Order: sequence, then structure tokens, then C-alpha cells
Amino acid sequence: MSVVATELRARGLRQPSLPPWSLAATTIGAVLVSLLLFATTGFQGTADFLVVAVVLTLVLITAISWRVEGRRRAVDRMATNLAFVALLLTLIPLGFVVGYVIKRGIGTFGWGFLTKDVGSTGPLQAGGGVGHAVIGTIEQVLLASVISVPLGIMVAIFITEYGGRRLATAVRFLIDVMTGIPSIVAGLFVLAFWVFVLHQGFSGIAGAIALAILELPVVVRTSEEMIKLVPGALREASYALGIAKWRTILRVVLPTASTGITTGVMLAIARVIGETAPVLLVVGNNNYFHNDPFKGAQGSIGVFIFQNANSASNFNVQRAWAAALTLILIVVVLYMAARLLTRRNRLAQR
Amino acid sequence: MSVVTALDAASLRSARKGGRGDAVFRGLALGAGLLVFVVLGAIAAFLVVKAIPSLNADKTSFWSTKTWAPTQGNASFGIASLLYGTILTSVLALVMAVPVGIGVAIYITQYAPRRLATLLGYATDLLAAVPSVVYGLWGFYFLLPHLVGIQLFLAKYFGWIPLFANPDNQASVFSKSIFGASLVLAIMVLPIIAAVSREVMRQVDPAHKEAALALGATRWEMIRIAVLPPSRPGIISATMLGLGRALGETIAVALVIGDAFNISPHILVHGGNTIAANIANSFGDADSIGRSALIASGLVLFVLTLAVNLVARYVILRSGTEERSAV
Amino acid sequence: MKVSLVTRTAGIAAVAAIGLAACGSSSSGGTTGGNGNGGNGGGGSSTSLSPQGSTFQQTLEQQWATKFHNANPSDQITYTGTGSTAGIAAFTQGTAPFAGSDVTMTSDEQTQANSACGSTALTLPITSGGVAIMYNLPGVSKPLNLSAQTIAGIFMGKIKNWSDPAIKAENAGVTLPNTPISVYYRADGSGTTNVLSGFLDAAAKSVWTLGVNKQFTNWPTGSGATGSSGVAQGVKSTQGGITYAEITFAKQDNLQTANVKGFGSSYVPLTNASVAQSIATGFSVTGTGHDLAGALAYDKMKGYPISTVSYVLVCSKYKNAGEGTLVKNYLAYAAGAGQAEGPALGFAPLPKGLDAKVKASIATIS
Repeated sequence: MSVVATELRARGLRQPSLPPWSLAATTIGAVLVSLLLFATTGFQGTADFLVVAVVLTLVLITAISWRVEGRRRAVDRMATNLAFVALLLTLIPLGFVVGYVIKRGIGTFGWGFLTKDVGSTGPLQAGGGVGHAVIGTIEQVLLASVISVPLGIMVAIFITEYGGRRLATAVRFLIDVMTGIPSIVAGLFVLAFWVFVLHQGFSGIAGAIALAILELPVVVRTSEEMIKLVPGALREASYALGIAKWRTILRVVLPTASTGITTGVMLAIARVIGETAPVLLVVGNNNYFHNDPFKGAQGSIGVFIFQNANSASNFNVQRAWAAALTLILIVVVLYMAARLLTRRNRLAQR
Repeated sequence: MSVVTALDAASLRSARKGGRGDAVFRGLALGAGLLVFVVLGAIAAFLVVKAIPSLNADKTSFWSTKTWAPTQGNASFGIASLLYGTILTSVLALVMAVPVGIGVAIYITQYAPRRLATLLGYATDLLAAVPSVVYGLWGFYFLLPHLVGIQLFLAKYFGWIPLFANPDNQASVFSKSIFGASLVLAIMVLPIIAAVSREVMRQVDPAHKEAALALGATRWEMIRIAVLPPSRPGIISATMLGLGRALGETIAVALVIGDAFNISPHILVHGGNTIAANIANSFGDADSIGRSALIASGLVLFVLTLAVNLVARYVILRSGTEERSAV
Repeated sequence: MKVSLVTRTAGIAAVAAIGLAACGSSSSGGTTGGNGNGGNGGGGSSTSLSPQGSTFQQTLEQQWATKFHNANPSDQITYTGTGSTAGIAAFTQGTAPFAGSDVTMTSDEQTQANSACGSTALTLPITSGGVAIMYNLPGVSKPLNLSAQTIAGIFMGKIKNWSDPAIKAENAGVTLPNTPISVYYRADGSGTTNVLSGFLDAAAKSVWTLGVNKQFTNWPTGSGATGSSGVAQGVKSTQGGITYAEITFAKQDNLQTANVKGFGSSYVPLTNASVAQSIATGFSVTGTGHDLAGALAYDKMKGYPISTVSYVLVCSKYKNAGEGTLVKNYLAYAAGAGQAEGPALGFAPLPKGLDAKVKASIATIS
């Protein structure tokens, strides 16, 4: 290796550096060594092989770089490579989750599956669909978001802009505690107050209230972080122009933070859209179309999946997987819509 | 884009009326803040009232008993094994997810070209958007069977560490375990940590980054000096958010954990349970005392989250990264 | 500017509003909402019911509801498998019009149910089934014979290998492999656990020491799994695995099932006829009048010994007459023509005699 280094120095480069192909070369070398290792020792398995090869590559390239380029560059290289490995570690499970759900669900999935209900299709038949549950879930989650998103953003504004030190800390603390409420507790709470005390009966809106309780802390926490990051200079410029505080918040602070807030809202929706237990407790279950979210039991995708995933009937199990696929697609569509809306806002694209 | 163009003339004209608008807006914000107090107070009161009957009926110590048999007339149940499993799975999940999540955020914001960064941002967000019931099903049907090989590997080569030991030396015991549950939780909280950290890092003032690079810092040094310190409160916040989800996650854990009421350091072997998963698994067949007992366990989870957040606040204060004032 | 302000400040809320408007336009509101038998108001004729309870009867109820709906398109019944206890709780709180249950109500629950109904609540057998002992033992093609003592020994961890003398003694002429036994049990609360433990507690009390329950947390051996599909999958993936579940799971996963000897002298395979025979000989009604709650006597069963009945809990008179009529019509179908739907799903029809009593009781519901 020192040959390479000398050569590079000879070419008149002030700081010796590895050629661009060095990473590829090291990777190949590491794979070969791992192959040897797996052929001669007790190591086995594809996953184990990949782990060994990746670790070996990282160690090798860092060691070589240390010799040739010095410590600072070596650390820099290692950081870059580690960040890349982290990315792979995130994308691999995503590929497996989505891929597996598609594999199990695609055979049953289709337009008919999205538009029919399952009420006329028994456990011994293929066909039927989750249209009823799609409508129920979308209505419940959107109602929950209508409650929790404006409320959550207002709470975040209160914490960051108005709350004074002590009160803001207290509210933020309570919000953190809210993140640990198990979903079924939220369901029981709504069951006790909404259904038994107020005698409202099962309905989509009761489920939406329970889901809103679960969404709220995620919305508040992310919105708060994003609002706090809006540069003070922006606000001060606005104040200097004589703009009232509330208008500054609505027109300068929130738009600047909107991309981050949207991400937070998506996290919140993702947390609740597949919820089963609280929804079953207060919304009930329905195998037929029931589009009124304010009265009567409604179907929902989470409950549908749970009722069918462990069923003795293979047709039910297939429908459950197709429903899981549907759920992911709904989240993707909602996500895209939210992104498109916030993208219009140029201020956020800094 | 300057602020001035973002504000039209109309808003300038209405500036004089700001006093009243401000008061209304301030009132709304205060109302929202107070509503949080009311809701949380109501939930806490609800939990306490509903938990009392079972705690009175419990014939054994609630804190040290490992079994869970809250049957009418002869209730003996305790939180010990559930609390242990809840904390262990969450901590293990964070140990796996936090470094990876921060790494992804760094890669997306500091390394990836702009267009790729947007795309990768979407991809990680999508991982966050997969509902937990899907993770549970995937974990049960796909991950657990594929995990057996890794569990055997760990037990064979690292079995001398108690965490990875397999005392009974059986292959069939590698099914639902603390390890599997932690891994599913890690995959679930990873995108939360990655997404929030990413947003936070993206907001770092570019001037600071350029200054660091201009002084001759390598990219990693620039990240260490200019990106990580201002992002730290946000990253801690992201971690707390992830921890909250891990502690309270119900359905996904219920599907992949052993549902066993034991306290064992051997995370690879069948076993383990968490408070939230136990509520989900036991609720359907719980009688009135059983439900009350489950609510009592929910109350413990509530208090646990409270305690964890207190500790986190203390850590943030101690580490000197005082909350930056927003204005 | 005003419009874009809205989209800016509440991105998702705007999406929400748009989405809601779209959904709202497709709302029909054709069915009545109130599904409770008390307090939920919403008079008029009820065409929509949301019963819940026992997961044991779930697929059969789903099949009945589908057939009933296809014959009476305006009637919509959705049975949700939440567990027997949850079903009883919902019924006694008045949030379920009727409940499916594998167990009878306690006297407290009966009192609560009566007050929720405003009339006497009835417990009626609606179907029956056996719990199969299924195992994964490649190379052994003939169904194994297992006595209650042996089954208890296996699940208690006393018999650890398939070549154990106790199993050999019951299976003369079968070559048993030297394979360790891997027990899979239901970790969640389950009617099948209740049935199996009830049988073993009666027929092999000296070996089976856990008692009778829907859920045990102190299994001395084996691995827990959730749901019948969970334990069946476990056995399918493990040579030497054994578990207990509804027979449909054995068929679905191609697992072998054992012939079981209880108090009788012979080993009986699980069939619809053998279950029906056990119910006919081992089930006796203990309820009075139209209430047909009963008890199982395992020592009197002449057929497959791990058999049980599953009930529905109904009000004798509903506060909402339309709801009462719908419950009556649906259950009349289930106890009549609906019984023929059972075998395909692993349920045995109610034995003759009992089914007539059930039909007579259903006819009195109003």
C-alpha cells in the first residue's frame, strides 16, 4: 500500500489520498476473505456472511486510509461509510416488510377488493373486499387528525411562544407522558366516558377521539421541535415590520416549519391508522358498508386484519394480508397528498 | 426568499389591530395547553379509580409477584415480570435504533445529493408510516422464522454472555422472545428517530457548516462541530419519542413476544412479556377483576413513562444543552 | 392568499377536510346505528347487529351471517371474535345484542344480563366441536392412539420423547422415532385450553395438576404461541411437535391428529359423528325453562372425549322489538338449516333432541 502512497506523493498531490476505486477494491477483497472464512471455519448462513463481509470492508478501508491518508481522513471515511451502512440497515427492513406484505397480499388485492365489503362472502369463499373498512378507517383517522392536528399545533405554539417557562415545561412534560399511554387504555377511557357516561353508543367518532389522544403527543412533540428551529432572525424581521405576534406565528413561523410538522403528522397518523384494540372497544366492527361515522358500529382495517389473520379459514387469512397491503397503500397516498400540499410552500424549501 | 415578500400589504395594514388578535390567539394557545392538563388528569383519575378494586383484591405483593392470575376470588398477580420485559425490550430497541437512526439522518442531510436525499427521506418516512399491526404480522410470520439462524449463531458463539445464553440447549425454544420483540420495536422506532433527527439536522444554519469547512475541517469534523451540537436537543427529543412508542407499543409486541411471565436475562430464549402486550393479549378473556388488574398495569406504564421523562429532562439539563429559547 | 394561508398553517388538516368531504358525499346512512339492547336508543326496525364473543364459533358465525344476509339482503350481522369473557362483558353491559360463549354465565353475570335485557337472559347451545390433538411426526402414517393419561403426561413434561414406553404401549406395531417432544400451548386465553384442561382434569387428574382454566401461565414445558394458527404453525415447523386446536387447523396445515381415549375403553378419532355422540351422551341441561345452559360430564361421553358445546347468550325479550325479531330469525336459521354449514368448518351439528329444545327456546324470543 505504501507503494500507492509514494506514487501519489510523486504525482505532486499535497495530501495523499486513496483513488476512487479503493472502496470497490476493498469490498471485493473483504468478500473474498469472508468466503474463505466461511469455507474453512464453522461460520454459516447468508445473513451472517453479509454481516462479516460488511464489517470486514469497514475495518479494511479504515485501516488502509489511516496508513495512507492519516488519522483525520480515516475517521472521516469511517463516518461516511458508517452513515451509509446505517442507511442500508434502514432500507433493508423496509424492503422486507413491504415486499412480504405485497407477496402475501397481492393475489387477493384488486379494485374489487377495495370497493366491495365482506358481508356477502363467507369463510369458505374467495372474493369480497375491505371497501367498508377502508371508508371506516379513513373517516376515523381523518376525524382524529382534525381534532389532534390543530390542537397539537396550538399546544406546540403555546409551549414555544406563549407558555412562560414553568407552565410550558409542565405541558411539555405531560405531553411526553401521553406518549406512553397504551392504545387500549385510551380506548377504555373513551369507552367509559363517551359510551357509558354520555351514552353515545358505538360510532366512528368515538374511535376518532381515542385515536386523537394517541396522535396528540406525536403532533405536539414534532411541531414543537420544528417551531423551535425557525431562526430567530425571521421572527425579528417580522416584528420589526410591525407585524403582530399571532400573524408572525401563522405566516412566518408555521410555514417555515411546515415540512417538519407534516412529517410529524404522518408519524402520528401512522401510529394510529392500524390500531385495533381501542377501535374495537368503542367503534365495534361491521362487515358491511356503514359510511356514517357519527352513529353506529363501523368496520376498520385494523380490526379486519385482526379478525382474519389468525382465522381457521385460508380465505380469511388471504383477505387479511390484502387488507394489510391496502393499509400501507392508504398511508402512502395520504403521505403523498400531505407532501404535495406542503411542497407548494416555498418558504419551507430552504 | 425574504420575509417581506411573504407578507402582503394587507397584513401590514392590519398590524395595528394586532393587540386584539394577539389576545385571542394567546387565549387559544393557552386553552390548548390547559386542555392537555384536563385530558391527562381525566385519564390518570380514570386509571386510578379503575385500578383500585384489583389492587385491593390482590393477595400477593403487586410489585414483586411475577405471575398474572387476576381471577375473581383468588387474585394473585404482580407487575414484576411485565415491568422487567417492558423496560428491557424498550432499552434494547433503542440501543439498536438510535445509532442507526442518527446515522441515516446524517447520511441523508450531509452526504446524499439533494435529489437522492429527498427520495431517501420519503423512504424512511414510509418505514415510519407502516402501521404497527403490519409490523406485528410481518414479525410473526416472516421475521421470527428467519431469526432462528441468527439466534443460534449468537447462542453458539456468544453464549458465554448471559444475555445470549441458551441454558436448555434446545432449537425449538427460539420462537417468540425478548430479542425478537426488541428487534421489531427497533425497526419501528428507527424511522421515528431518523425522521425527526433528519428534520432537525436540515435546519442547521448552513453558515456554520460552511465556516467549519472553510477552516479546513473534514466533512465528519464539520458534522461533529457544526451539525450535531445544535441538533442534540432534537435528537434527544426524537429518542424520547421513540422510547415512548417502544414502551407503549401494543399490537406488534403482542404478536412476537413470548407471553411468558418470567424474569430471565436470556433474551434469545422463548419468553418475555410487556405491560402493553399483556393488556392486548389478556383483555379479551379478562373478567372484571382481570380488567381492573390490566388497568393497574396500565397505570404503572403511565408512571414509568413519567419517570423516564423526568430522567431525560434531568439529563438534558445536566449535559448543559439548555433548551434554546425559540425567540 | 387567504386560501394558501389555510393550507400552509394546517397542511394535514386541509387534507383531512377534503377527504372528509369526499367521504361525506358517499354516506348513505341506510342502516340503523344503535346495536345495543339497552340505552343506545335509535328506534325503528333494526337491520344491523354486532354480536361478539367466543373465537371458537367465529368462522361458523361468519358463515351463518353471510348465508343469512344473502337470503335476507337487508339484514346485516357482523360477529366479532373478541373472546368469551369479552362477549359476556359486552352482553351484560348492553353493548352486544347477543354473545357467543364457550362457558355459561356466573350468577352475578346472569343478574347483570337480566337487568341489561330488561328480561331473563337465556343461554342456548348453538354448536359443538372437538379439540384435536395434532402432531408432526414424519414416518408415522397411522393415527396415534393416545389416552388421557399419556396426553396429560406429554403436556406436563413427564413424557419427553416419542419413543417413550407409555406411547409405545398404546401403539403396538407402530415404529416410533426417537424424537424429542416439543409441546406448543396457547399463550393467550382460549376456549380450546379450557376444554382440554377440563377434559384432562376429569380424566387424568393424577397427572394433570394445573386445574381447569382458559389460560395458564405456568406450563411446565413447551413454547407458547398466540391463536390456534400460531400453535399449529409451531407444530408444522417442528418435527416432534404436538399441540391442541380446532380440527380445521390440522386439515389446513396437513397435520396428523390422534385417536383419543378418555373414560371409555377405545381410542376414538375426531369426526362430526363422534363429537355429536359425545354431546348426546355427555351433555345435560341444567337451566330451567327456556334456559338451556348445561354441564359436560366427560365420564359419560361415548364418542370423541375432548368435545364441547358452544353457546349463544340472548335476551328472552328485547327492548327493541325489531332487534328481537332479527335475533330470533337469525338464530332460528343457525339452529336449523345453519347446522349443516358446520362440518365444512370443523363443527359438529347439535345432536338430535337437543337441537329441538334449542329451536323451541329460540321461538320464544321476542
